[in-house]
Amino acid sequence: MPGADKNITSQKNPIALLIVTAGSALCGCIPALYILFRGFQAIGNTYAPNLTLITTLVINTLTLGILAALVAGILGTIHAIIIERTDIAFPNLWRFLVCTPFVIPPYVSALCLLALLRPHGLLEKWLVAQGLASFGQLPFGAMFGVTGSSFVLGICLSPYVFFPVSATLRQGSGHFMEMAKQNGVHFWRRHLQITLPHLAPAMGGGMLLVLLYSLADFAVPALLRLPTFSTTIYSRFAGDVDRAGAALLSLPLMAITVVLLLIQDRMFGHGVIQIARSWAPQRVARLGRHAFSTYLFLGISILLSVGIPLGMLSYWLLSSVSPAEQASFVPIGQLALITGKTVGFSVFMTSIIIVVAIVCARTMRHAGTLGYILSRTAQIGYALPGIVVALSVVLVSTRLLPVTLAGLVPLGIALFIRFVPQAIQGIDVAMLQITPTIEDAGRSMGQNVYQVLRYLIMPLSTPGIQTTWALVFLGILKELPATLILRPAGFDTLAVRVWMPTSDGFTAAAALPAMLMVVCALIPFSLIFRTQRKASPPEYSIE
Amino acid sequence: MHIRSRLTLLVLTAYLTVSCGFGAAANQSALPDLTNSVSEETKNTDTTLILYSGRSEALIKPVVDAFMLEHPTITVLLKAGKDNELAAAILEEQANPQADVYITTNMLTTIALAKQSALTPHAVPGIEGIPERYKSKDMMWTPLTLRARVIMYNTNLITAAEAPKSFADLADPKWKGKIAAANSTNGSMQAHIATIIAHSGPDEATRFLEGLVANQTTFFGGHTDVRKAVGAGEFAIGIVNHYYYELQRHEPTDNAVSVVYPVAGTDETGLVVNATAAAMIKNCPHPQAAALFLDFLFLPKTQRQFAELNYEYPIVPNVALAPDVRPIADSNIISTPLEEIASHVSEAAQLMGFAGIP
Repeated sequence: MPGADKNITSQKNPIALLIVTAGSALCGCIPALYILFRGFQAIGNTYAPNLTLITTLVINTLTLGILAALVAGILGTIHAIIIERTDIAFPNLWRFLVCTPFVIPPYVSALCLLALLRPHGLLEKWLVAQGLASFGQLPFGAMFGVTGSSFVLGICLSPYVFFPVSATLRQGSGHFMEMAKQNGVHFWRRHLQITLPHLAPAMGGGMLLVLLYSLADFAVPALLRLPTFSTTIYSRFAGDVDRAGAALLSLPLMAITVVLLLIQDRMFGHGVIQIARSWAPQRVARLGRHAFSTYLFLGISILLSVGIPLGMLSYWLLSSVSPAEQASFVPIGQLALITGKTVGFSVFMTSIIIVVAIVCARTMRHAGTLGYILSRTAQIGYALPGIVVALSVVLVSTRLLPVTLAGLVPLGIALFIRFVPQAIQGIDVAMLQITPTIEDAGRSMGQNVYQVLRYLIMPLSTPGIQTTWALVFLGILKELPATLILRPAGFDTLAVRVWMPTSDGFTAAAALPAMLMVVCALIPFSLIFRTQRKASPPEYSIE
Repeated sequence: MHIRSRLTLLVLTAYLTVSCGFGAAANQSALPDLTNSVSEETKNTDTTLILYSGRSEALIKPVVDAFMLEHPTITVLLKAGKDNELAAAILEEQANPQADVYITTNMLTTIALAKQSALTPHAVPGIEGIPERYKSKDMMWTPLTLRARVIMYNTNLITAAEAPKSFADLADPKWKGKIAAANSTNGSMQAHIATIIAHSGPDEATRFLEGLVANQTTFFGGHTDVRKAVGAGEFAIGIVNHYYYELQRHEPTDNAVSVVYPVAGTDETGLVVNATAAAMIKNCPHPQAAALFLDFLFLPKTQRQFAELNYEYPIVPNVALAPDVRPIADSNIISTPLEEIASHVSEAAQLMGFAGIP
């Protein structure tokens, strides 16, 4: 059979798949090349950034990212275990609720939480009016700086962890858990000792996305007064529009990203998780007397992440507004049209991105060093501020694309650069549970690589692919920095419609578009969770 | 299988929605080329105008609507965003310009664009009547309105008698922890510092900045946050552009605010102002429409709209202000030309960095 073997390996990495990966890597390089190109222009003609500033920025930015990742990691994992592994009522409703914070742009959440919890905010004023406290007595100042910023980003981005972890939980075997259960190990301890190690890649991947997102985010630290790389890079564009200075400041941020990606590989690698020789269906635990505390926990976290933002927006919508603000309201009909376009465009882009990411993720696992480098390069764009990514695309597209091709293409490219990395991350985690031998089995049955992808790998990692689709969809739905710069004149998305009035401080006018975004979030959920059923009926309690 | 077919359907619907939505825009942009070739002789053949506006949509849309009413053959496609992002995009688009007109709330970005050869000159009728210091020497940009730097304060926390009378007063230790201002990323704040440098020298600017830092001033990303924080009573004093005070005063709640217009005198050099401006992009696709639009912005009725919409000071003389907006005397305004102020922007950013302003 040596001939057959040779045939398999030679066909293992069809050139078409490598080209797709190389293409997306090339796109991923655009921002990096832009930074190098403009950064070299800066040498000599901008003032040298001082070292104290850089050190402060490195510390602030990394602290923000790591804390946000921890908050998101803990919240997302606990949510996933509760929802996927207990007999909680209405699991789909809870799945939807814990994911909705993801469609509320973090800066809107920050704005709403700030109005309520800031010094002299609504809560403190109410407490003072009730005679329960005096101004300055309670630590409302904690809303600012690294505490507030990481908290807001952490709760808004926890679905980055929830999605892959819950997918892994639904996919995984209940074999080990069953053994532990038979040996009398407690519910949470079982999850700590058995589930957690299995979840590590999913958690790590999700937390890395939160970390990278936090490095790039401009709006939240700017609002909560924390100087980071993004806010400082942004400041270079104010006044004399110093693109070169901004590029120079982006270099350290890019270096941090590369280091983080390398660390992730060191920690998790790209192997396969051998689940168990014999697969057993998951069983769910009965909540029993822990029901109250479980529901309370979920309730509080949803109140903070969704309840307060939507509540504050409704409050502003219903309270009287200044005449200047009334001018910022958009007619309902126009808003409906914008909603349609936003959803249409997001679905279209998400589907393209997912297909490319499946190819990249497979290449990363099968095509050796070259494939690995290519698919990793595609991921650098993720931690760079949106404005840098957008400008790099402007530069390239105005030079390479004919005028008639413009329209939505540059925005599409920028979204591709920003979201392919997280799609690869999600799908890579989903593929961790498929052994390469399955592919070989398929090949020995005479299937080609495309058939293997289509009939073996995709069905086996369906939950992971679906949740990644949802994550990317929701991310594109709310994407702002690139959309703001690259949308064709006259094209608006809901996120733009939320941003416009809020940037003038007119929060009431942002309420309706923000709520429509939450409604749009139902789309991926109806797609993903409708067909899913619990693996087996509840058979034991949390004890 | 079921899911996949539904997904395909969704993608299809999505594609159709998007393409239908853009059919309209695409047709509009395809049309002018046709008419162009047919009627070379007519004076204004452009039927589309691409407008990049740093002025927020609510404050420019009414003006755009009025323009389209007057020129029904021209469709204006508006892209509203942030001054600096749009300016950066225009710079990157230089190889193949996409926009016709750029409107900014901060003349610094326009001057930066002019310096980097991204603009083309256009003299609007009536520009002769504007003082030299508010104009571009080579007509690269057109000033539209003026905005004054003022001190707003919360009347529940301090009385008119206690309120600081000048920016220099803000260094008084009694204001420790009570001042809010915009941070160094803000164009108006940069222009403010650049004005002090241009008029009184870098030492004076450093003294002002160090006074703010010594008084533990809180720096916000933008003036909207400043006005809200002062209105809420979190801070007694805020350094803002005058219309932020007007906006806060007209809020249904948290509106107990008053204002100090610094006056030229013993320890103050005069009122610091910034200009909003508009400009035509070099090699823009629709120059005739762009020229028409710039001229329209300078008409007294349009200037009146700017005054009404956002309490600004029209640049064209003898246009009425919005009710209750305090008139400013030309003699009280710092006399340094705007273009000279703009040449000190990088120095301003540097000084803010040295002083430790985020």
